[in-house]
Amino acid sequence: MPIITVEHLSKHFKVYKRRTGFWRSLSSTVSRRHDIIKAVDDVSFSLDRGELVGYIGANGAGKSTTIKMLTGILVPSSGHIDVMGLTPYRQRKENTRRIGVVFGQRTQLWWDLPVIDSFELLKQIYEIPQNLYKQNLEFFSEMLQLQPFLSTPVRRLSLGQRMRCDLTAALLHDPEILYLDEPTIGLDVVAKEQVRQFLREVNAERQVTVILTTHDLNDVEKVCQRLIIIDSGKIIYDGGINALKERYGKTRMLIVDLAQGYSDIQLEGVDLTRRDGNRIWLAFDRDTISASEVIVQLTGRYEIQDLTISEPEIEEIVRRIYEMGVH
Amino acid sequence: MMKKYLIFTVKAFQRTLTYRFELWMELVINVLFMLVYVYLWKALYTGQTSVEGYDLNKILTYIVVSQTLLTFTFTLRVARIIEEKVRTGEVVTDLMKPIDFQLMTLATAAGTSSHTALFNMLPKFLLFYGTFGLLLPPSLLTLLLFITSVVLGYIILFSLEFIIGIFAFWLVEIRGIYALVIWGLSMLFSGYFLPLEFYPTFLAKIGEVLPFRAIIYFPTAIYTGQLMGESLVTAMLIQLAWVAALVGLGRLAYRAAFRKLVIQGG
Repeated sequence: MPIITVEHLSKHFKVYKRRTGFWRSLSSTVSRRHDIIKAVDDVSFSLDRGELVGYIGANGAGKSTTIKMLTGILVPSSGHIDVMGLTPYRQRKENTRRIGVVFGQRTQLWWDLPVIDSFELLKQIYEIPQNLYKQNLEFFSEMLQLQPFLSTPVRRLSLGQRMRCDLTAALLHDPEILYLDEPTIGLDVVAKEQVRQFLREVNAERQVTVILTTHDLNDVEKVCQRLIIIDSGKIIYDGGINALKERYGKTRMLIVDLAQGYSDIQLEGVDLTRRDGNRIWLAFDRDTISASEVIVQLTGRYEIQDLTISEPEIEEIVRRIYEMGVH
Repeated sequence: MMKKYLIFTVKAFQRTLTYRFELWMELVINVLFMLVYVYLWKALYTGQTSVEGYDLNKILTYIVVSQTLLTFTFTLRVARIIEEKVRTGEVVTDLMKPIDFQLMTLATAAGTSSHTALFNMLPKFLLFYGTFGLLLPPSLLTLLLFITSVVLGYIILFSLEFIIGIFAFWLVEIRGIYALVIWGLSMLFSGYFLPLEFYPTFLAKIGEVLPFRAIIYFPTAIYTGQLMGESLVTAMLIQLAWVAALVGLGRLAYRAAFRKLVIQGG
């Protein structure tokens, strides 16, 4: 049985048009015109307990709006949401007890107080029993190496340290679902990797269902098993990452350094996509022609110095999906 | 149940300790202002024995007590804190917790204000009490009633600020309405400036239908013994009525605000 079920979920916002000019702006105080923005448009998906899902999309694609509806702080315009048997916006408090939320751009820790004080505050807010609190705090401080700065005021933490504390704060009460909105934004490579590693472990060891929205597709590639891509409010892909590569990543790229600058390059089943001096970029569909066939052709006609084959990066695939839609 | 709100009070109290310099400056400025008021009233009373039932000692006591209580108005930043939470969107973080927003805000404010009461108001009062030989409340019971009345007045002040803060959900800017209510009406009608008995009748009449006199005038007048017996009971009942009305109004306001946020998005 799924832990989250979303059916035909939509959220429409009215956006009032501001008119320019004195008389027009005056008249807009009486009658305002508005556009309807479909931030989320007929979205359906379901998640099983223990899944780790990447929810990605460009800015304004509807990621955060979906998360806000799932957490109960936004009422859907239409459609149905079931989270752990609850309707989040109707049973907001009950829902909040059983979820954890991390916003990358915002902290839920108290700015002026030592980190540990915020944790103690959360212990009271969520009414976490003392032994569970102790156990979880030990577990997370060990895993995220929080010990050195537990008594440092939050305002003096680095962004990476703060994020580790925020992750702990969201998990102290043993939530069943963890929502993460851009958790790696602004972090350096090492800190990003730490967060990813942590998410994998928490998901595996504690069976926490994780939904992660992000711009950074490395997050998704390294952390998630499943990927939901949303664009202009609609889901355009929902499935495994390998399946995505399988489906949209058939194009291989062969990068060749030629021994001399041939003026005209003729090859069958291959697109010459770019040329820079003696280096050429050849794209081919691996279902139509194999890499070795391309190389045989190439070596038969031209003298080459070096070549490399690159697999498409997930980023490249997603960029292509955004640009062209799903075929 | 109450325990989870009490921790907000404790943490807010601790947090205030972070800004020691600010607190000392505040205290120094307050003391200077109070000195000016005290000397002003001393000068005004030269050649007078009693005005409207206040002799010199009583009026000085009134001024010092009411000035001390005014510190709450200066240091309570509830409206500003709520406005900032709305502006930055931090209010969403509060919404994602299993907690009552109004109670949480009150508990936090109480923490900050307990600190103010202990480390600013009490020393300030004792300093003036010792220096100018002020009056004590007529009895121990009056002292207890005074403290109760201070707490009720505090909740009224908090509720007003809370409601103003909630306006931030609809208005871009709440400074105007804040200035009108807290710096205008409250200053005029709370009785910090001079006892309300000194006011011309029409102003006193307006003040009677407003909640502001319940913030400073009632507790101060209880302390000085100006309000006794039946009039004291009436005053405290009026305070209770305002507490109920304004806490209730604040609750309605924030529910409407959250509904707006939740339906329309932030």
